Amino acid sequence: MTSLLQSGDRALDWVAGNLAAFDPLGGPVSQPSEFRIIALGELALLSRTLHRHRPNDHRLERCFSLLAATWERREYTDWLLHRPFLLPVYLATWAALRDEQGRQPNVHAAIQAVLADGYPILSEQWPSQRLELRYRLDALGIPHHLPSYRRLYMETALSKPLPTRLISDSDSYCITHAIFYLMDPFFPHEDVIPRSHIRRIRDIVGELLGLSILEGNLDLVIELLICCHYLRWLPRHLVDAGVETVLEAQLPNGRIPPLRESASGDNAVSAQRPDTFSSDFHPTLLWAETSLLLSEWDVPS
Amino acid sequence: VTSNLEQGREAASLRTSVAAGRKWLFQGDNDDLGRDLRDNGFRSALEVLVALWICDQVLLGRASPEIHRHARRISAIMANRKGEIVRVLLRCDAALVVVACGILRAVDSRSDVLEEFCREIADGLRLAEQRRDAATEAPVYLTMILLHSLGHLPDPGSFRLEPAREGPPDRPLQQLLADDPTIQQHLDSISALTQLGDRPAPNPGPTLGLVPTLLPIWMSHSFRTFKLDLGASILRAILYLEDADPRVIRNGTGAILGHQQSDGEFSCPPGLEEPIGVRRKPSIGTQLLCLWTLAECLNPGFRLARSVRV
Repeated sequence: MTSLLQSGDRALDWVAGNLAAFDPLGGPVSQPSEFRIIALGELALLSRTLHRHRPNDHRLERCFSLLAATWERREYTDWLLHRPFLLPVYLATWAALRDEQGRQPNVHAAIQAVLADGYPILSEQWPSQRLELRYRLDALGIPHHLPSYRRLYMETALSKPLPTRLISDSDSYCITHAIFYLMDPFFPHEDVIPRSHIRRIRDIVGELLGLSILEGNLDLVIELLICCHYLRWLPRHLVDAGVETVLEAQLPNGRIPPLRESASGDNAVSAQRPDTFSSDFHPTLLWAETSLLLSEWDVPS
Repeated sequence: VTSNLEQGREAASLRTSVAAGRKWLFQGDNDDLGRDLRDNGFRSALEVLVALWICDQVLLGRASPEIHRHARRISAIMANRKGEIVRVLLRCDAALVVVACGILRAVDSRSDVLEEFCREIADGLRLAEQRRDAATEAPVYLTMILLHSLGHLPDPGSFRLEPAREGPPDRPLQQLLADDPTIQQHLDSISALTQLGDRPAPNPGPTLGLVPTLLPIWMSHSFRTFKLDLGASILRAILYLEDADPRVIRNGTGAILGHQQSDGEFSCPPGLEEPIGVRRKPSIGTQLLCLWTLAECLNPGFRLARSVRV
């Protein structure tokens, strides 16, 4: 457990050491970077979860400082009016600031304007994206006219007995995200998923976890480990295998590459590869959170 | 699992697939047994015999005129070209030879050459067993069980799976990352423990460790990486263990059906390294494995090993 916590700590070190790369307005032009807006949203999600476990961590304080400072920038908030499909990301960031910092950001008007316009609800989306939108709006108490959780769930890949051998990475992410939105321990909607579906969902998550380990997809491995936690289900051998896979792949600076490069037979390749923020921030952020969740389970490492 | 399948359209799909796979056995060179005995010709003839037997049992419930004709040709070739055939048999999988011997008996085309060959295998195994102090390896045990079915050996008793002799058990990650030969060893062990699905595995949990929980993952991975033979064999092992999940079975049968070509052949798409338009040589071994697995999924009462018992 100690090395699991240490591993998560190193991942958080890497995040804190690369905060500038999360700043949507940190580029050479005044126009915000959409990619960094999304990265900032992911940073908000991590900060929100970790802050509840580590309220005095100075690295998280720095994360919240960046989040708060960005929310104060007009270029950032106005960008939502031009890119309404980013609404869930803005909502996630807002929720983190409100819940953990007690802030009332000034973007409420922009969000209401985007919602009144209807684009995020009317545009064509994956079912798991509509589920996310409802989840984020509800978490902030913002009224909407989206369908019920049950109806949204029944549209997702999670509700269907997909043949595991055919599930693509894209579908796997739809499955993991639907679990995140429906089984979030902070905002659960457990009664939405029929009891008879739970065993099948657990089995599919277990098989996908095993396949992701075999295929060296560390990003999916970590997402699926979180799913196990959210499903309150501990397939010990698979969780142990997943944790070992990630620990082996983590680089000395804490970074987690999205794919296990050692699968190609050369461990040195990962160590020598330059930091690639765009591909590595997501698994590294996730691991900082996942290692903490798993350590509560006392998963050996 | 299988009784549920039997009721629905999935059963109809499997039945159609087995029928198409059976039809493919008669196409092209596969029907010409005497064409090339130097390579795999005669072994393929035995594989066709077993595949036909499996199809006839689950589709018709009896031996068809085609298998009678095929069996008579095999017996005639063995009688006329004994020396040459024995050299081929020595290179064959022993279990295949023994099953073929049992099928020839069942269709009244008993082959003295094959019977003698099986007796010699049995004598060799009996001698080896007397000298051996270690547990029997799974493939050898399976041959012994089949020879016992034909009355060539006494009952070898239950299969005993030896635990790893040295060191601690592999960590879960090591077990999951098993290579194909290691996975095949696990499949052989399951086949031996269940006598090819003829009896429940005795207390499979402690004996097989994590293997039963890893089988669905290995199966999906095999199909995802175009290893049709391995995927089909894993599916059959899943079937042999108790409490097989219908979703997992459907996942496996769907993969096999998906790899059936319009002419009934089961094959993966050509590898990326192969030139466009070049079709790989048909594998009767793959056809046999797929038909065997589909047949046992389709019909809960059919087990190949049981079907050739005297």
